[in-house]
Amino acid sequence: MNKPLLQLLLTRITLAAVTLFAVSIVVFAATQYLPGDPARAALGAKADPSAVEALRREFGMDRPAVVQYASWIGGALTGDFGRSIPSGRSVWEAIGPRAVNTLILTVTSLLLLIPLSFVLGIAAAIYKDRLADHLISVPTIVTVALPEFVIGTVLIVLFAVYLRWLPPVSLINDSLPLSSQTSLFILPVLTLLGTTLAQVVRMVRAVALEVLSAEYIYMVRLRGISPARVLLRHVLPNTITPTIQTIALNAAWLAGGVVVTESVFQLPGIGSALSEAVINRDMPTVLAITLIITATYVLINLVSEALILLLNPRLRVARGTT
Amino acid sequence: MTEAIPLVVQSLYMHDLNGREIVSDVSLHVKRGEVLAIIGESGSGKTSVALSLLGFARPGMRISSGKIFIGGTDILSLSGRGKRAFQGGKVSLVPQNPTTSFSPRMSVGKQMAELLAAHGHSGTGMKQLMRDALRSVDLPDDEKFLRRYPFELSGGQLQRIAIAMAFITSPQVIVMDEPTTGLDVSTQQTILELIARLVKSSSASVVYVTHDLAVVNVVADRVAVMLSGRMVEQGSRKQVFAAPSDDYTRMLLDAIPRLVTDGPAAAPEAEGAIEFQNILEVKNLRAAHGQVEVVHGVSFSVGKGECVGLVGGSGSGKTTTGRCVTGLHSNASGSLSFEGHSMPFAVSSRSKADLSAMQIVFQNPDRSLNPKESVAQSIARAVRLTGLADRARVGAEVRSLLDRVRLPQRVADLYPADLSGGERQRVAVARALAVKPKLLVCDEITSALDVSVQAAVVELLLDLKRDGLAMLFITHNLPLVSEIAQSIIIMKDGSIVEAGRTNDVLRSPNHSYTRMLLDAAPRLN
Repeated sequence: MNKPLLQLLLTRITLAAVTLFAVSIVVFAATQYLPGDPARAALGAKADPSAVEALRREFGMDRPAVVQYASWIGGALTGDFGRSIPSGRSVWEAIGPRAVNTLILTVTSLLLLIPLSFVLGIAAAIYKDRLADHLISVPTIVTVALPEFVIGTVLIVLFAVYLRWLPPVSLINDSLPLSSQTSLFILPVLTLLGTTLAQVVRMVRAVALEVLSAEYIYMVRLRGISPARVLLRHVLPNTITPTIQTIALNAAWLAGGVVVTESVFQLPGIGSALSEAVINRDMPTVLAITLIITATYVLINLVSEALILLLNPRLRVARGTT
Repeated sequence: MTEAIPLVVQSLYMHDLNGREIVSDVSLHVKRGEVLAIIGESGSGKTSVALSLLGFARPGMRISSGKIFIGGTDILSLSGRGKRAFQGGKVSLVPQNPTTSFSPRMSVGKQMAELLAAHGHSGTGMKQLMRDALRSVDLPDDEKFLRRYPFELSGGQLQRIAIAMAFITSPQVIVMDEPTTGLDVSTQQTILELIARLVKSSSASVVYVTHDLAVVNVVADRVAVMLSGRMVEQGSRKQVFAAPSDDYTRMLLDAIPRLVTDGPAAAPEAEGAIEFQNILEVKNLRAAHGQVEVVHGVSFSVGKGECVGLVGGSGSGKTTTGRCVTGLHSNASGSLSFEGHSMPFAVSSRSKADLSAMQIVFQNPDRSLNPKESVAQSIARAVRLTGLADRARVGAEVRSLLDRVRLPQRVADLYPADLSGGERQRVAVARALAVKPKLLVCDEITSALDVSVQAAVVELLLDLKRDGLAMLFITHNLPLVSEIAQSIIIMKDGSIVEAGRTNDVLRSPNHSYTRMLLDAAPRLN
């Protein structure tokens, strides 16, 4: 790797770290000013004030905010997010299995999203204004306008109520291995795919249309190169880079947008854990989940920027001179 | 009969998707080792004919009937794999714009190898072919060069590779679509020489499409002239140039700017005795892009009613000099004096009167006119800058400006997209004239135009000069400048290498670069 590229990457990584740090402060400050007292919420409205005070002391909530933040961020950096307030269990232990569920859900969606959107988008561009284009474009335009809970509900009505192929809710049983419960993930994955696919397909189609009409594509064709090779070696590489940003945007949306989908299907994931924690004023859990989601967000953006840099031959071959 | 002649086209017709005829009844044939030049203006259908020889029509266009025999096989009757074996194998194309004709994310070596692999080559034989091809176009043939990406190479280098690729499969027919148009004049000359050399040593039939008649003289054996989709004249080069049978061909030939040294002394000579009072004086001008100085201490002056030609190749600093004068480039030092007072470099520190007294017209009217504004709106906005507010009077002024640049009144309500290149450039000139400038800086204003349109724009500039307008005419086209400028400044690598009266410079050039430019300018006899 050459020097300018390395420098660019280091700058991006530093910026990502700074962003994450800033976000941690904002999130922590927000939980401090959130109305409601976690200790009172845990013990109930009629609890003895001295018991509430004891609980506050036990969780260190009587210390000044800055000290609380310092001990929290110190722990977070070493992977210790503290203990959940009502249960007293370690936050990791409580949200760990749920995080795995969410990870399966989002990563599966993403792995389907990327190849599917390139195939559909490029096909729509090649068959522009013909039947195949309409068959791809009309449904994607319709779904892009629908919120995920509508898509989820329609899928439930169709596949669970009428066809009875799949369960309407995804109540995962922690005592059974996940591999035996894969059918529970199908509808949530389809829902997430439905909300993200449209945008990426539209973008791929627009970029591919531009590439297909570029002079160099005609030149390659007029050299007698086979259509398959033109598509794979010339159209596809030039379509990927401008689309990375859109894919990253949707991947980042998946990291946060999963909250609604999980609650539609009652899937025990990180999203439903977050809403439960907010209701219980379980601040350590709220903080941990928010930080994980933001970190994912920042990481996805970092990866996409790094990819754009790495895929750009101008930077790859830059010889340190201008 | 068709087997003996590598390329035979029989009554080719092409239509656009609205059914309009683009090419009608074109027939031609090119023998082994022969070069046929197809000339015509933009929109004459010459490029459509050229691309059809590869069995290809641009989107929005279709080949409706006719036969195109390449080595005895009608390429239009082929499809799929059979057609692809011909494209790049038996008939190849050198494109107009080398910088946009290479796949941007693949090294040039891979693109050459891809072409060869598609036509049955492989292994060491293929590598050897690539090396030989690169050497034949005077490029390095090492691995390092093959690994280069298109953006790492200049337009001239890319065009050399494109030419190498057109010859590498030893095709029977080679089509060249304006292969030098996108290059600057000195590169143009070397590429043209290269093409002439390769064509001579090859037995391929070559079709060379161009709008530049002077270029034809260098390469062609026979010439075909196209006008609005029809072939109006076809014959040997000598015959067409010496005794054109068609009015349009005669008009094209007359429209070519000629170096004054070629013929009887032109108009500028007669005015040579007049002394001009200076309107613009530039002293020791230095300009830089970032840290890199591109103009190294240039001094010259322009007199009232005088036209000064600023000539040089790309990278000579001529455009930057023009931009410094008009205040568009302020990273500069030295002194500018205009109408007797000194003038700052930054456009923001110049007075309103100075700003309107000096106008610039750019090379490409497609990019300097607002596409969402009608001609009348564009010009009227400039007219209102002079302080004129009354609607009727603004309208009258717009009409008189259109007259002055010889545009019909009906164009007033049209948009730039509805106009031809020449008409657009005249709108740009009218807009510059609206604020009543005393000095007009013309930056390559005819480069993007066809010869006949170019001639009309030059006529217009000569008219304006007679009305007393001073002009700084920046160009790489020496014959053109010899027609309208009283004096010439030759720039190279940011410095003036020669300056003087047009006739003196052209008849007895002192500097080798001037002589090189003179030799490089294609001419007709």
